Amino acid sequence: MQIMVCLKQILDPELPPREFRLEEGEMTPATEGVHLVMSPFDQNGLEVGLQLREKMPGTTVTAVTVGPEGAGDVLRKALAVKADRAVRVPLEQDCKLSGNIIAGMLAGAARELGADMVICGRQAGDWDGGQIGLILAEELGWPVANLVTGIEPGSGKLVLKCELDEGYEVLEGNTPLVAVVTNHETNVPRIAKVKDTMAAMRKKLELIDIDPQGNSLELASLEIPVKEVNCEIVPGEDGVEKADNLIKRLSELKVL
Amino acid sequence: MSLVLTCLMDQGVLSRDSLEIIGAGKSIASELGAELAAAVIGAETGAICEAAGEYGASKIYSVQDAALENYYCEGYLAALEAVCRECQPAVVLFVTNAQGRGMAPRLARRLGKTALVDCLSFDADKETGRIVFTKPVFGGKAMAQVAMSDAPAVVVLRRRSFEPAQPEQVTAETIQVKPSAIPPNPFKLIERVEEQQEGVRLEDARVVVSGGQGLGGPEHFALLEELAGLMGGAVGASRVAVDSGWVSSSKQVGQTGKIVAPDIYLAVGISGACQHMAGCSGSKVIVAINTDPEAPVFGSARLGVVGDFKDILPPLINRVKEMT
Ligand SMILES: Cc1cc2nc3c(=O)[nH]c(=O)nc-3n(C[C@H](O)[C@H](O)[C@H](O)COP(=O)(O)OP(=O)(O)OC[C@H]3O[C@@H](n4cnc5c(N)ncnc54)[C@H](O)[C@@H]3O)c2cc1C
Ligand SMILES: Nc1ncnc2c1ncn2[C@@H]1O[C@H](COP(=O)(O)O)[C@@H](O)[C@H]1O
Repeated sequence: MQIMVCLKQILDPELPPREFRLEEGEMTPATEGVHLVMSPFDQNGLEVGLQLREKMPGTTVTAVTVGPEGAGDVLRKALAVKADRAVRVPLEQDCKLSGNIIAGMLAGAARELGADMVICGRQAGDWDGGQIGLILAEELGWPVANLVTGIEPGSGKLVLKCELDEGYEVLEGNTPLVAVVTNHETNVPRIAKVKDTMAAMRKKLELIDIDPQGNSLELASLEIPVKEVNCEIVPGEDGVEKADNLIKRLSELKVL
Repeated sequence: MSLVLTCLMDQGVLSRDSLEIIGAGKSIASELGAELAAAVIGAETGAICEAAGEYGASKIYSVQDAALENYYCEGYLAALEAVCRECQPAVVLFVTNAQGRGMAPRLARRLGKTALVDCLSFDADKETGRIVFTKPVFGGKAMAQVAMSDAPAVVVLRRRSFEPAQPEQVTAETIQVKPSAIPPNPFKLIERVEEQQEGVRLEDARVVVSGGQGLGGPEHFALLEELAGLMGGAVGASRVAVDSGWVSSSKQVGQTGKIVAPDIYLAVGISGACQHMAGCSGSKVIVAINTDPEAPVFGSARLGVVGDFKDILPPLINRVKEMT
């Protein structure tokens, strides 16, 4: 089986709000001095793909990203945890709120690679789009399982565990399919060994060209919300005093 | 007249989620001078159609088919697509539950559009029909205003961001829609495990006590359980606590977890990442207990306790015990 895992490079989502700035006069965040990382849910998706490969001999995992040359860094991270191949679909333009365009390009890559399964994260941690995996499935005409936490092989089929609002369901399906992955204790990303990270630096990244098509939603404005900070630190010499004072303040605020 | 279509996926009774969709739909429709419509899908749609009318939908599109007895994306999506082709809505509304998140992007794609997921508010211009939706991006560090000018605008509203609709009897017209085909479920359902929440539901709780990475292990969640139990509340968690396997993922609070709005939200050993705070910002009083006085959570909390939870929770539990 050929698994394609979609990985997006994003601004580190753990960047504290006070360090988050916008580019002067532009509707885009400033990137100078900020780490770029693999979007967290994509790390979970990659882990799901790698675990499935371990259980199904003959399976390959190909990491794919759409973006500029620098975005190749996420591919190297995937190679460092032993993805078989790494492919970049070049795209220079800033694609925000462009789910349809990116999904179309990823679908093109899936066709070109002859993938049987595409794994996406549920939501990129930058523009929080939350839809590319689903659109991609429409584009390819494949079934899609949403909020998947893990995939197991089972008697010629695949068994997918998916999260519900309360609880979960287990689905059985056939390839081709798209799995949109969410975080779970069973898909916490593995950590690359130093020697594999070094080796990944020397590996070749493949390129596949695909025309961007479609249009983006219209971003009318982008603003950093002003938040008033009025946190009152509860005084006290020790835990007991702090607990007492906390109870007192909660009563005064009439919530207790 | 243009339509605002609310998509109701319930069986038997309208859920709080659906009431929020209708509530938002009503205000968008009134701003736009549009009519409020509802799509009702299932094997037996009668009760929900009636309820939709009681809450103010004046046109109700019902897709009734034995195959649609239980929700599955493929079938419900085909039904919704047929409704949209029939009524050509200006706006189609969902909410960020598993169904809304799963269907809206696909429906939009089928209608040649891109959906907008996780919206908090809107601003509509009656003259031009242009609606601008506000959506948090970068985990809430920025707010994007996104203009949806060409119909249909397919939008997923953030749960608990819109007031649920109040009853208002209108004369409703019900239209039966028959999709040309209802595709079978491409997946076979092996099992569905509905997690029964013990005690108060997290989303309805008046007090929520949440734990994060700072708890250092699952054993300390017992303290949170005890405190929440005494206060008639429920326990929540950060993503890290869920990923560590300390608690079930249905307890995750945040942008990609539950949205809660209790009177007291107690964040214990949680740093206060925006993605987490997005799930509790509607709380009346947020209290943070954290060893690090610089933790961002103190930027969102009303009351802060700087210290180790191990020193603070036991006396807190004792005090609450004395009060009850
Ligand atoms: C797209 C996206 C969606 C996300 N969705 C969510 C979501 O829905 N919910 C969510 O929670 N996160 C979400 N996250 C993750 C989020 O960004 C943070 O990584 C996460 O919330 C951090 O969890 P934490 O606060 O438990 O851990 P940490 O950030 O590690 O914080 C632990 C805190 O505990 C404190 N501490 C340590 N020891 C003690 C002690 N003894 N007593 C008291 N305090 C102590 C530390 O000072 C620290 O502040 C999302 C991220 C992305 C990119
Ligand atoms: N530029 C990209 N390159 C590769 N994969 C992407 C890209 N953008 C989004 N994805 C994938 O689609 C998922 C959902 O993205 P989004 O709908 O933008 O939130 C992400 O978690 C990735 O798996």
